Amino acid sequence: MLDNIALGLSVAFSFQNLAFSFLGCIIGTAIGVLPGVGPVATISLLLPMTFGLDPITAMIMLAGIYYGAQYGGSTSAILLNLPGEVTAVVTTLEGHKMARAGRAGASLAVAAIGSFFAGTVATLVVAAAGPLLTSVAMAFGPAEYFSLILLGLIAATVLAQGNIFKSLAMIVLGVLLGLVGTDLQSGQIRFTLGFPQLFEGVGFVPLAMGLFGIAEIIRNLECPENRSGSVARVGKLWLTKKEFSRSVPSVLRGTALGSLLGILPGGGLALSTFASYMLERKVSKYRGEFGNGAIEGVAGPESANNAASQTSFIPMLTLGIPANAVMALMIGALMIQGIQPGPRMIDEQPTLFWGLIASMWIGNLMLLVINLPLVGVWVSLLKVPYKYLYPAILVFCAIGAYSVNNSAFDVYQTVLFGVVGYALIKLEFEPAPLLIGFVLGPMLEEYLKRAMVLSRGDVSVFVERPVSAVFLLLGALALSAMILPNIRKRKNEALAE
Amino acid sequence: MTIRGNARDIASGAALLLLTAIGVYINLDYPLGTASRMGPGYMPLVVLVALGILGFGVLLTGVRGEPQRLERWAWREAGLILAALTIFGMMLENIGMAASTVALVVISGLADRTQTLKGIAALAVALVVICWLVFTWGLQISVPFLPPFLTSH
Repeated sequence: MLDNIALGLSVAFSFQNLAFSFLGCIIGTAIGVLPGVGPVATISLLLPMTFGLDPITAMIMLAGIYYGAQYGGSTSAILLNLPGEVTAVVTTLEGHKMARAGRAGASLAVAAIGSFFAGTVATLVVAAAGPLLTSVAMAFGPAEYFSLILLGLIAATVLAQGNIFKSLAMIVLGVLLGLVGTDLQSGQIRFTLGFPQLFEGVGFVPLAMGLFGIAEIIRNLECPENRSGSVARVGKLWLTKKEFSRSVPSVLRGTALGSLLGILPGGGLALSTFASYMLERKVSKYRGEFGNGAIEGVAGPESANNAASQTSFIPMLTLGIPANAVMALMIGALMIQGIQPGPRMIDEQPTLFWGLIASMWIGNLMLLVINLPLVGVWVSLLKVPYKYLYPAILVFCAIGAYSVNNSAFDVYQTVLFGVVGYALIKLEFEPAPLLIGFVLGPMLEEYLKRAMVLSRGDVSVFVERPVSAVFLLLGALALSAMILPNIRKRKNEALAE
Repeated sequence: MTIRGNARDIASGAALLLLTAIGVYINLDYPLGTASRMGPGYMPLVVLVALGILGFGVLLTGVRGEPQRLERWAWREAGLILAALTIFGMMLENIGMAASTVALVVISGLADRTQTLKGIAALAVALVVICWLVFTWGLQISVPFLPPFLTSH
């Protein structure tokens, strides 16, 4: 493992990669700090800019953007009480209360330090678990992969809110969209509606930008309250001795919880922050302060969040299966670079694999170093009125979408998916599972076909192979755990009438 | 006509079912093959059946659900943003990045009622400069910056 880490460090410490990691962290924080722009939107927005780079540099930059956007999100959650996305919701609970009490600096500091520590530990977890899981995955045949992907798809809906049929429908719709284009085996062109530009499939960048970028802009214009508020004063960026000693155990617990939950497919990120907050509230000696700005309530969830965002790379890097929408974006970026993520990556692209892992740690260090001193800059960004912001985002989206294939058609696709995304918001669908379905759809078909050729059309292969059967069983359990409470609730309601 | 139940879910379910029907119709053209040698139409059909079932499920929960009306749509904002992007796409290759960016900023700027003429003008100038710096000078993308008919003889 040491050799590998050394290899990774040598890749990550090259001047070019350091520079782009730095650039990614800065841009990611700058955009992530803007209220109403979460990490997924940030990454979709900036995706086209990385296509001209080497695959490794592009991934390092994207990873930097990802962490940066998360740090930025915590900053706006603490200072403005506006969570950029679900994972920052918990931070507003205690963090903003601390800010109101004049301890914004301490809150920001503990978030940054806790995240850095968690990131360091989680990077080691990734380095250790990656090769292990890869060797397991190498033994998988098409049947196992098919069942695993199916499990991943089901898991992607576990934490979705609201109607379970709707989240599942999003997944299925995503899979269907992923099938648009040329069928590789038969050469048959499917569902292109006569557009030759769709022969290679629906554009990933237009899809992501439309669903997350454009639709959110329309949404924010519609509800101005989502994007403004008064910024709390930062004050001294330092922890008192007492605050420090109170935070240490929370950071440790958050790190452990986050590292573990992050590996789970399907939004382990949000789960880890909520779980950590609940845990802290249970075990803390200062239980009474919760709700009024308890530092444990920032330290724990922020560490958990960062640890989980690191370890969520594990299923992506080893199995090629995205645990959340951000990882779906990463896979999309790799595929546009011509790299198929999966268990072979560690052997075929060792510099990419280990370089990315090493850069995770470097990115976290950079964020610690740049974030605290630059907090004044981020605060001033928070004050940019949205009316100047959104046209700028639109311009970058439009040129970015165009530049992927130098095609105006991609701009129109972005428009179309913007409409779709807005309709989804209005009808209370969550768009993230759609993106995961879109990435996994072609793989699902591929493995299904291969497994069925091998079994000569016998479906029982999926339950006869033990590993595959376990995956399917887990999927069925998750599915019934989601559907059954709904049914029981409805039955009770019906009986009550 | 009044519809009882959750109108959002009913509309969603209906939309999913409509989409399924269109998908199945298109998929009729593609050979299904057999389970051991799947044709290009096999997987889409499986997926469409799943979509149809889920659409029906959504529809059903909508009919049975708590009454809830459709949310109002921000037609004006959505229309302006989407029109601005579409016009940008049509202009970009023919008239160049500078003019298209100005058009995009002006049209999309109308979507925020608090925006002022001065604000739009300043934003347009700033963004044209930034775009030149980032895309033309920095990333050197192959889009003309100024209208081609002005620069070529």
